[in-house]
Amino acid sequence: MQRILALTFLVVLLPAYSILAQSQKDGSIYSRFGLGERQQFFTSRSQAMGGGGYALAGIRYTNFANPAALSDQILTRFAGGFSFESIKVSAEGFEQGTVASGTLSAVQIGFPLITNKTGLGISFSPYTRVSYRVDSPSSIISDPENGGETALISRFGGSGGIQKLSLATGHRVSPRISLGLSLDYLFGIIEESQGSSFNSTLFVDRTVEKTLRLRGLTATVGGRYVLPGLPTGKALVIGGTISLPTTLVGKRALALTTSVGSDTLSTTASGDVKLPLAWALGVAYQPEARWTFIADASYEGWSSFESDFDLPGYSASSNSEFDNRLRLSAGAEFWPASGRPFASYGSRIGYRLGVYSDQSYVSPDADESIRSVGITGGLSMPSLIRGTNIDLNIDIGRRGTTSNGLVKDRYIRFSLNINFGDRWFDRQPLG
Amino acid sequence: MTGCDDRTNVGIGLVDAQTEESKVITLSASSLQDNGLGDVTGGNASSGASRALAGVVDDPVAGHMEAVGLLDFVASSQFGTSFLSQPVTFADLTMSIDYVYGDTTQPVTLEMYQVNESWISAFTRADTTIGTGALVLTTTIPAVEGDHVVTLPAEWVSAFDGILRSSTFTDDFHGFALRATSGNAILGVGFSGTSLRASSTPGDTVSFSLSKVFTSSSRIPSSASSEYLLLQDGAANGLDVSFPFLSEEFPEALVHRVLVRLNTVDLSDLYPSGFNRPVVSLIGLRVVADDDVTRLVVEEVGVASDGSLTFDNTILTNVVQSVNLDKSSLDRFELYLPSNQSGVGFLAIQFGAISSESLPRAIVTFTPLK
Repeated sequence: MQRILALTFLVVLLPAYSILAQSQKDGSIYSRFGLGERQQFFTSRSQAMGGGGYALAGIRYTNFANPAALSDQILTRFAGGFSFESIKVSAEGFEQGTVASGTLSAVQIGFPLITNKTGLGISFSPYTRVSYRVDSPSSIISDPENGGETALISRFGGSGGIQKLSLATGHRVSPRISLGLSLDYLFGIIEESQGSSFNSTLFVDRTVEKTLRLRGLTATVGGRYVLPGLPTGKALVIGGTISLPTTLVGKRALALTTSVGSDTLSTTASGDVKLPLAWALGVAYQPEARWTFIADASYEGWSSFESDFDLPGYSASSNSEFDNRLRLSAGAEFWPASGRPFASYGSRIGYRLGVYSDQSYVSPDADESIRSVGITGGLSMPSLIRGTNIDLNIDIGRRGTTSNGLVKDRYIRFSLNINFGDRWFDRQPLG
Repeated sequence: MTGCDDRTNVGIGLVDAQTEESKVITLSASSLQDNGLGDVTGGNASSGASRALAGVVDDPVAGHMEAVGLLDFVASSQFGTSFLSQPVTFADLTMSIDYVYGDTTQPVTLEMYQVNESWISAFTRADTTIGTGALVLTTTIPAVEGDHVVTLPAEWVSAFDGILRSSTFTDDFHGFALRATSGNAILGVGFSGTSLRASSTPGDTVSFSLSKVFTSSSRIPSSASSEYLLLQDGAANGLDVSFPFLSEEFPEALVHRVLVRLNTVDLSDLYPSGFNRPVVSLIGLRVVADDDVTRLVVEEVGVASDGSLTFDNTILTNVVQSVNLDKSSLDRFELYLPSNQSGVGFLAIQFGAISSESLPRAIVTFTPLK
């Protein structure tokens, strides 16, 4: 039964993911810049604890924050989630409007090769996301020699992003040390559109669609160490990862469409996009079985980013550069009935809380960094199906500033994640 | 899943900082020059040609113009037995004068020559020379519109009796050439009403209608003006015009509208009374590719009451869009007078030592790409 549910889950989510990823245009205007708004989703557990989890251990989730954590697996697990985001945008103290969009967080599968020693996992999740749409009405002189004005609407939009498909493995080298390796295939399409519609048939409405296709391979190595010397029942774990810099090969196509919808002109250009080295460190502390605390830091050296393609906020021909991204987060988890499987349902719910600060790698204004700060929370509810949890998470935060002509996003995200667990590859006992 | 209560202007400030608004610029022509390419003056009624021109005129503006017209005929119907059985004893030529350019106060004397060689009218340009044969007759025609009938000499009738009655008349007869020897006007011999008639006695009369025409013309220009260039029909060359579409003020952009506008100069005060100048009704603009052969007609327009010409359509806009994105083989634009006007009239296009507002110009509405 669980296998059927899990497979159904995958069959439905994967196509839906790709469709949604292409179609949305109602996210933050900040997603317009660079390669889009940086995304990271490791597990619904870490999502509710501030978004880190590089040192998190546990068998309830397949933790893709650190490939070394894949050594923890006992059950085969399928996980996936869907999130809904509402953003209120304000500028210079005035609320401008509200946009809302939904997307799938990730689709993941993990299973043990050697129970609680060596594990393998596959994860498909967004790496960046572009999702915005803006209309700007204005007017223009129709003919400077004969006068007259014509109304027009300038339309800007963007969608898509880069996806990450990871194949990861983790191995427990010793009771205290785990190591892991993840091969990450980054690929995706970023679409930008710019057009003008005139309130007159004398003008040709045109839209230019720029489509940037990128793909490339990178790798992440991770390690986790359980510190010795703590009393029984307590644990202190440190973990870290390093993601290698990589070059994505890209092709940009530019197509012009007219008001009748036909392609009139198109050009293509090829080039490279170089992504930077990234590292992350985390610590997890478990004073007792019911409580877990984590603190994490991740760094991406986007100042070394290079692209042959012009991107919003980045000029390939000038010396413009991105900021380094620094993300700090911390969180706590409380399982009232940890270790008591027959406790009441309410006691078996897990509670999570987290905070984070995320300085974006790209800003529309070179003199102003874009920072997101937020608090997260979540409930992990056991289902009637053994080994399966339903997680409800929330993320409330703000991004940007209203100074220097920028905008401030106040956002709230709700997410629903399902985490199936089952034994698939057990050997049948002989006799 | 998406939604928005008011997406207008949500974050527009950040987009505006990255982009530029739609704008209108005026690009003055970087060059306007005679292209030395003779006008197409050959054709038939179905190809759009209206007439052949013959005459000579000293124009106060355009200079000395001379036109030699060629006319060829085809049998209007099957010959009757009575016509074929008797020799032709009489023939005349009715010329329907439907166009007069020049001094209408004095007649024009034309010499009519036999054309001995087959010639092609289609797409034949005014600077083409077609050889002529013996002089058939000389006639003097008043420089006014109307029919003018000349009787062909008996010697010619006798010499061409066999051909006139032959079933291969179209192949064997190549028409007449009309060349002026005096007068100060160019006359047009139109398709409608022009015919060659032949009679046999006591038999029948057969009519041969005008089948194709061609005008070979030349012009010795008067002193060139520094203010305008002539766009002239018939004798005529087109005018090449270019605009600086690859300038910094016109960056890579979405092109929404392009107007090409020119001003003409009213020169009517320079002409004496009695000098007839038929109005040039249509002016065309076409795109010339860099192979110098491929041409795309943009539009043919009339002169506005203020003397301006404005070309404004999506073909023009699309061509400039292609140029802007470096996806075009455009070499230049070409102004021309449509061949179906079949005259020698002209327009004086302002250029040179005139204010920049009066130069040929392209008015471009575009949105810069970023």
